[in-house]
Amino acid sequence: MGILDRFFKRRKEEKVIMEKKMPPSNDLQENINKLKEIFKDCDDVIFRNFKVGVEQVHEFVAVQIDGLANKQLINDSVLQPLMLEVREVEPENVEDRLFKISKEGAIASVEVKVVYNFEDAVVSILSGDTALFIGGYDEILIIGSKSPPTRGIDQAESETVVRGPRDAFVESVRSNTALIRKRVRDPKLKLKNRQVGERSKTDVSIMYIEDIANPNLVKEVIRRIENIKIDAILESSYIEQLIEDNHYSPFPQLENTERPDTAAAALYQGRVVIVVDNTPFCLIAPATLMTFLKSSEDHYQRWPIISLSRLVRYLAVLISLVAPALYIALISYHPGLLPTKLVLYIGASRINVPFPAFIEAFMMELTIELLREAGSRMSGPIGTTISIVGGLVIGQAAVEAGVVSPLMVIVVAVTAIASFMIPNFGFASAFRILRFFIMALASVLGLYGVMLGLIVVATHLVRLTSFGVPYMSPFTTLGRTVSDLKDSVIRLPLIKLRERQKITHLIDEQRLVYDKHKESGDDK
Amino acid sequence: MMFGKDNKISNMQIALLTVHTIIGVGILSLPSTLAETVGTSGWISLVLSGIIAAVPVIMITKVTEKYRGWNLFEISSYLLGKTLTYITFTLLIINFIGQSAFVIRIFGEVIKMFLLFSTPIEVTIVTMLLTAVFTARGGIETIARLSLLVVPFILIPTLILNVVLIPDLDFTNLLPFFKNNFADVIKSIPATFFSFGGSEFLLVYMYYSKHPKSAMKYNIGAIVTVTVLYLLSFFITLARFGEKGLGVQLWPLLSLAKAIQFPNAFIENVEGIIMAIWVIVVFTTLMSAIFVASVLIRQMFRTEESKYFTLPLLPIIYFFSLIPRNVVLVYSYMQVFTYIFGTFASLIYPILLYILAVFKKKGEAKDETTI
Repeated sequence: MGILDRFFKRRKEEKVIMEKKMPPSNDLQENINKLKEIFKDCDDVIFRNFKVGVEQVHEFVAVQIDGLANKQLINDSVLQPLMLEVREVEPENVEDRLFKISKEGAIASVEVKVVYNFEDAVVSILSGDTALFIGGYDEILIIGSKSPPTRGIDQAESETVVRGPRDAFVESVRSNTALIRKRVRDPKLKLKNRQVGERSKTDVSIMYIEDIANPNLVKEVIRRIENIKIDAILESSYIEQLIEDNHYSPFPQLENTERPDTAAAALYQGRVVIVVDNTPFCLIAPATLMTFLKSSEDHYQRWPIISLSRLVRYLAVLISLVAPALYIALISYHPGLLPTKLVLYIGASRINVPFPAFIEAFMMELTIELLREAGSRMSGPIGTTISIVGGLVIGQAAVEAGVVSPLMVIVVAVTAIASFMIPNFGFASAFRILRFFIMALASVLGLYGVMLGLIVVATHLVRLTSFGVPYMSPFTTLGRTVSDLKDSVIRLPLIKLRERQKITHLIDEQRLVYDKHKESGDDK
Repeated sequence: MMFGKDNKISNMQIALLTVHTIIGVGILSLPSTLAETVGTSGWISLVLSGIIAAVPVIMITKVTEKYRGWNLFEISSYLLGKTLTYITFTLLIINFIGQSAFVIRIFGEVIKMFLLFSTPIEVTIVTMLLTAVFTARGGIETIARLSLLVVPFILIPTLILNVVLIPDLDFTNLLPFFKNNFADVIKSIPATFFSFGGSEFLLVYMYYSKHPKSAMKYNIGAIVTVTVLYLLSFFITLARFGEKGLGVQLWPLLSLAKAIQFPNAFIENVEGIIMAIWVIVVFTTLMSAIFVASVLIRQMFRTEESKYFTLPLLPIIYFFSLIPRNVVLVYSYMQVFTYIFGTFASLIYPILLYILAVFKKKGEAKDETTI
């Protein structure tokens, strides 16, 4: 029933679209009037009439948007040849072949295509292309002249590395896909373009390597993106939030990156990269807990260094989740579980503190959140100053005033640092939110509450999927994916990582062939 | 397939789930029961019970493998007929609810004694049940993955604690290995056997197996794992407390935790860690029981979703768990209950199904392609 419904619905929608499309007529003036009607009150649209031929009888009109299109290119490769060079020698039977000659012979531009209706032409014009109307023909020539204002390639701001490439994505989809293509010189790297947003018509490129990625995954990503019906896509996050599996989870289910090398690495692992226009952040699907705790640098450094920092990162997740909750539980419910000396010290330091431990903890956590929020709204240097000075002043003053104990300040500070250590902001924030949930449980049920909170979080995590891939893979799905553990909490030497990460069913799993004997053979 | 839930889990996960299900509150009191009744030869009783417990497990695996793609209700009504199936299912569901009630009550008592001294036991029971219901609603994949996820968090602390414990152990306490009391050993087997109760969960789990054909070695492995873990807990507590000392303990494993001393350590008292592990161990048992009960109810009423039956189980389990007035009564009620329902669920019912399955012609089983 549902399938039938969907089928008919789609058919109906297609019909509506078909009806809406307006074909141009043979009459140039009529076409131009129609177009002028469409672009009524759009003063940034340029209409350029010109006449071609020795006799100056063939009328042409070029339409483009001021600022979006490259005027120089149109001047040099369209107007120049048509207006001046053609005038010198006129081929015979021009009347019949005018369109063909213009398209194939006269216009010196790489990107030329023909459209047969106004809607496509309008979208092209709005994207920065130039439309060329030729008198007597009901076809429209579209000449690629996109050159939207954009900034140059800059350093990545959120994912900095000690060692590794420095370039980062910019706000143009084509430069971004080019940056990825530069790292994957393989015709099997496929790129599918879709325009999403009824009004914004944002370009979205779906990239994957055909003979690695699971075709079902690619199909599913494309299907979900095509199903989006929204007025505008302003940032890739719109797409992320519309195609994720679970809309109510605090955890992000797609990775985002502004580094082309991270995107390329994901492609080589058989994942799908979604590049969105107007944002330097592209999306990677599917994502799991393990991929969020990886940084692009993890394969550029040697394995012992990375194994250590991975271990610290997983520890940071735990600390940022439970440290304040454990403090609350131990101080207010189970001081007996701590060593006697420590209990005495804490008791002495808390003797002037007028609040129970959980109020103290909530107060300090709230302060940290305030500082973080204030810091992120301020630009660079001021932001850091606010955070550091604010943290120091408030922490110091609070302890001296006896409102909080020094140990509490340490716990909160360590928690904050731990949560900054998690590479992905959205992922770190999820644990930040859950921290308050576990703190609340700890202040009611002590250590038992902490355990219950952890079980609830664990249950949610094992239930969560990203494009059907279990979020906790490979930790909860042994068997086929067991080799993924080689590059999870610790990272083995590169020569041991011979297979790709198998979180999805890949077509080609072999990644590295390393034969030691072959190499030593050269010495002989 | 990759997208959407296929509700199938691997044999490894089934085995792990079974281990988690079987090891619950039983492991707490088992060593002292053994020491009291048979003394140092308690290990013989454990090994024999393990072997006996393997029999229904093998039978269940065979039956479910023969009728793969069928759920328990279909198998049962094919072999036993509709009426008997309804009766047996009612008994099974009562068994699972009763087990959950005892588990949660003992859990509440332990938490009250070791962790939350002034929190009412009702609060502990309800919060734990709510959490278990939340997990059980996630379905078989959730509980299977969770049972795998918690393994390192149980294993690593336990190993460390055991290493720390070694200096305190007196292995001469284990002797004599063979005490001349074989009659006592035989007598103790029924009680020991019920610590292995939980194999009936396999009846439900096996439906979700990806490869029912190769499940046998995993399921036997699960029983062996349980036996080994029980043996270890018995030997360690025996070595620490001696035969006489062990017999008088109510929960020797927890007393053991209280006695652990870290040399020069930051932590003087590891009760917190033990309690954390204990919460996980009980939780896995509880979520399996609630899940399996809800699945059986779903199959009985032939509805689509079993998750709607999980929450209504909560008040029932809560009510039953508070019936016994104190811990001693809990254990005596539990004994009677397991003798009646436990025997039926983990021994009689599987054997009955197996015998009937052997005599029914194989050709009548569902087509093999419907796995």
